Amino acid sequence: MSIEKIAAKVEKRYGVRVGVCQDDRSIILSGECNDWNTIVAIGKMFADAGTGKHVVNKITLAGYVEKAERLPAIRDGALDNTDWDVVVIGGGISGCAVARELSRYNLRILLCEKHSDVARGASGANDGMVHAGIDLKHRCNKLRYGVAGNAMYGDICRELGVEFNRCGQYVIFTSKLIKFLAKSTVKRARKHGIPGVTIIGKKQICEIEPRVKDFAVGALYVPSTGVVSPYKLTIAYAENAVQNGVKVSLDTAVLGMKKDGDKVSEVITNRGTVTAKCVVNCAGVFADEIAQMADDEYFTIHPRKGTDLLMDTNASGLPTHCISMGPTLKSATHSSSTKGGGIIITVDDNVLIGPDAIEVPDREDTSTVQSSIDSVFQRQSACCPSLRKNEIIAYFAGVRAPTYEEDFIIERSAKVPNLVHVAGIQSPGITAAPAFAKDVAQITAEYLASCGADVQLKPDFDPVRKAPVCAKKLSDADRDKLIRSDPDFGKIICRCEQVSLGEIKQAINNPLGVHTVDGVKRRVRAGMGRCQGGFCMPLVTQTIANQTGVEVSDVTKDDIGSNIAVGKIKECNR
Amino acid sequence: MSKHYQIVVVGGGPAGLAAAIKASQSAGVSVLLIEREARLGGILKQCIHDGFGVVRFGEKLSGPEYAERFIKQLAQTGVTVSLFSYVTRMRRGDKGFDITYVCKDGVQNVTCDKIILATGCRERTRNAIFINGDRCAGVYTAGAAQNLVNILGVMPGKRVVILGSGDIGLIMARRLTLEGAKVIGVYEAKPTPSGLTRNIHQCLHDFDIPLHLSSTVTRVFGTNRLESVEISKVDDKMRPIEGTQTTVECDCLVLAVGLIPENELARELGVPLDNRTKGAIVDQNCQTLADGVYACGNALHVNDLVDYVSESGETAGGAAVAESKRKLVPVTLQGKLLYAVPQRLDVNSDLSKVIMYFRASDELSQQRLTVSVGGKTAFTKVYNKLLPPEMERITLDLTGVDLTDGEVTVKLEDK
Ligand SMILES: Cc1cc2nc3c(=O)[nH]c(=O)nc-3n(C[C@H](O)[C@H](O)[C@H](O)COP(=O)(O)OP(=O)(O)OC[C@H]3O[C@@H](n4cnc5c(N)ncnc54)[C@H](O)[C@@H]3O)c2cc1C
Ligand SMILES: Cc1cc2nc3c(=O)[nH]c(=O)nc-3n(C[C@H](O)[C@H](O)[C@H](O)COP(=O)(O)OP(=O)(O)OC[C@H]3O[C@@H](n4cnc5c(N)ncnc54)[C@H](O)[C@@H]3O)c2cc1C
Repeated sequence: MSIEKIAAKVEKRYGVRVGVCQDDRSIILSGECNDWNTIVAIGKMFADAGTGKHVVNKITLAGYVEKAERLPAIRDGALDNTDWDVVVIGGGISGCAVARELSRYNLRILLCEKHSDVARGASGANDGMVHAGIDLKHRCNKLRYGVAGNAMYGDICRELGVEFNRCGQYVIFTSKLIKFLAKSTVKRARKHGIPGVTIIGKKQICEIEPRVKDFAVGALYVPSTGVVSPYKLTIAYAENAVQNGVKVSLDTAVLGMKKDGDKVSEVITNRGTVTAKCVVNCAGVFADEIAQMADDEYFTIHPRKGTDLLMDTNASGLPTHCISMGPTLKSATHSSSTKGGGIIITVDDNVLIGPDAIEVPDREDTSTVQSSIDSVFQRQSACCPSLRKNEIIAYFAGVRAPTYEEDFIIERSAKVPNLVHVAGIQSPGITAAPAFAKDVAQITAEYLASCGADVQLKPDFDPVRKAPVCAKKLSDADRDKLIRSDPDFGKIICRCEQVSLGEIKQAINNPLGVHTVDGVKRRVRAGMGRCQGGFCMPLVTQTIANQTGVEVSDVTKDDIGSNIAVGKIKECNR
Repeated sequence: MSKHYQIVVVGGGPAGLAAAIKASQSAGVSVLLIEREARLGGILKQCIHDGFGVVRFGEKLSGPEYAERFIKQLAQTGVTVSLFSYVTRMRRGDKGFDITYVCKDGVQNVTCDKIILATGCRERTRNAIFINGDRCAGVYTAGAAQNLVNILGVMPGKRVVILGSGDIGLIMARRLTLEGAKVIGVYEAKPTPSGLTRNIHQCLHDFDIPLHLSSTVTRVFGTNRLESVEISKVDDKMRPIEGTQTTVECDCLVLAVGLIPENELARELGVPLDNRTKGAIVDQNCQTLADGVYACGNALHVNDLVDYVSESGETAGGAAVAESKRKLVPVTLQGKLLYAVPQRLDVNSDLSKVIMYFRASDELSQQRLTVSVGGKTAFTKVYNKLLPPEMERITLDLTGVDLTDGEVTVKLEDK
């Protein structure tokens, strides 16, 4: 269909007049509309038109004042006048994995992350499922990198000292017809190189997961699905990058770029302006804005929020395997943009359920809303009706960063030769990161070499990052030995998750220099149990103060300005 | 070889202290008290307000003072105390129970005949009551806020909203005011306040702090620190009423929204819990349905007075040193009772001084409480007024009453 025809269709369907123009890479839409979902739907109509072009959707939401981007509350010259071969923008799994893969080369690499820690965007708020890729379309980057990334997980997690559990997944069928139709899924999986997918019968699935016995007629078994802690993996990538010489600059936001001809020459941040031979854009939901800074806007990110719930490990009626509901006859005929989600047993043995998928105009809207919690619980608990809502201990929301074409963009820009985009990294971004990071590193290294740089693999690159000590997972004998070598490992601070003072100190003295309460939480789980930090938060705060030599009231929960306390007692003026 | 004790007490708050002291008073009994924190006293360590010990000592002590009396007494006994010690495993073994705990000296294994659980309780969190919104700093449970102020000496906020009008919420309102914060208001979802009338006066009225009933916090806003909260009116089922939302600017929200008995170890030992109290089901000696395992204090049910916490500790400590073959009969509840403890009676042990605690499920007036056995009244008392936040205590003398085949019922009805 021609784009004029689509514009006419849009006007007929939604009563919105869309301004349309195009260049060699994109269709650019403009106009105004008073409903966000309509704006997204219009963008998709153009993306799906089969032009092979990207969509830049500039239609604005009437009356909506965009929230100011969250920027670090610091300005200094810490990075001023420094010179880098590569500047990586964004400390999510994409940026951290790319930085680590690039650190194999003899390059000077800077990673800028605007928050006080890595994994604060989507990489810190997702399901942590290492997808097999059974529901992915043919010939897309998501499939290619998803399947390749999945296969790499065992090795990469071993190298980086991160727990990974290839637990498999069961997709439950409630209709014989659907079960029959699933044969095509099995065939497609084989074609896509997804190993071992089979259909199992009622008897078998009910033995494996008895909680589905009242409604299951069978299941699709996907053995290559796994689970990982996405923020721990992101942190591990970043730490290994630092080990190999990468400079990770936190509280550092990229605010603009200067160009020299086609190329980006300088990157402007709140910590100073730096020069760069090559820039890698891994900015998640802000990837299109980074592109814009380089005058290279050819895609648009439309933020898609998802909410996840965590159940108390003691809750009654928990399932013991990763399960999800297969399509029903009704849903099979509608295509939806979520990956379906389901129930996941995390590497820390928590039961996580979710997510949903809500289009939102605000890119950083990670607030939770009751309607999402209710609907996620209702929908996802269908495959385990014994779950009880009052046994939810925590919930969170993350924002995915899809483009309108709904695929990853992993390429060097056609217009700005020294800018590499890693954009549109929606689900399965966690799964795919190990694979695409290798390609991105290679694209970058080859580009630098093509400009005459002497790019070599470093002989002393160390791929191994030692796993932090987790005392409760040791045998009694090993734990005893550890405590005798350092008594702090025998002093339990977080009662719910059994985290010792020794582990907390180790987390505070991390290679990235993150000294926040939530930073400790992400690294060693202090405060992640059922009391949610009620008991240990003050102790963790005090330990951070002691270890880093600051006042208790200077310790923050997360970013600069998120102080736990507002000052000393008796010194506070109302 | 692991060291053997007759009794291991887990938890060194007022319940555990009383239990250990009592048990050690029987000649030749070896007792180990395991406490996870660096100091004894439990939650009392941070309760520096007064009001503790009115029933027991006839004095208004501060929390630390109250605890100190027991800690001094404990020092006179032969009880072994292991601090900063965390129980990681408990199971039945050849010699009663096998217990593993970690402390600064390493992983320790001991065995014992009896276990007394005095592990206290934890606070309900923001997530448990579905307060949605941003994930900023400044939202704390009352216990955490109290720790920040009383132990670390820092202020959790300058403009504070308190959710929950139980005694803990009220006391925190006063405490934060005294330290220089502006407490904007105490909000309570129920139509009546949950705390003692005395505390409403002393903690709120004396400081001009407004109390807002039938209201709750439904959302929080803030990028780094809390900036404001959304308050909604609630209906009689405590559901927020759409359209009643208002926004209150504040930098701190203190949640005093209830306590839940801590029963991780009880679960590990397979101790059946009571859905109403969230603590173990026990007989009049605080023995749970798992033989040899006792529970007391806030781990058993949430008490509002520490005096009764100590009392239940003593009951457990005294009973655990005795040998008995139990014969249990259930106690059935009728009428508007939230719960009653004990939930069982052991016919084979002393019935002359059965202490029973109960709470009414609603605010009630002119009520009659009747304890009957096999249809015959064994105890009756009239109450002019009963409030769910105020725990009631009665002493029953059931000697000579034939409990063997009669049902024991506790009934609350209009007078
Ligand atoms: C609810 C939910 C569930 C999901 N479940 C799964 C799953 O089960 N399996 C799976 O494989 N994937 C899943 N995903 C997808 C996955 O989380 C993402 O694809 C992945 O985390 C994207 O990583 P990223 O590094 O590209 O982006 P992000 O993690 O968002 O990182 C981008 C970073 O860039 C920083 N940044 C942005 N702008 C600037 C700037 N100007 N200067 C400096 N820094 C900047 C941000 O602060 C951020 O830290 C899920 C996503 C969501 C939201
Ligand atoms: C803010 C506040 C105000 C109060 N005001 C009053 C008042 O005015 N008057 C009054 O009478 N009462 C008051 N109380 C109530 C009273 O303090 C409590 O009822 C009492 O402290 C409960 O005693 P406990 O021993 O059961 O529990 P706790 O005091 O909580 O002690 C339990 C102990 O067990 C330890 N423990 C738990 N698990 C383990 C484990 N696995 N291994 C080792 N050790 C473990 C804990 O570290 C803790 O030290 C107040 C309470 C609070 C929180």
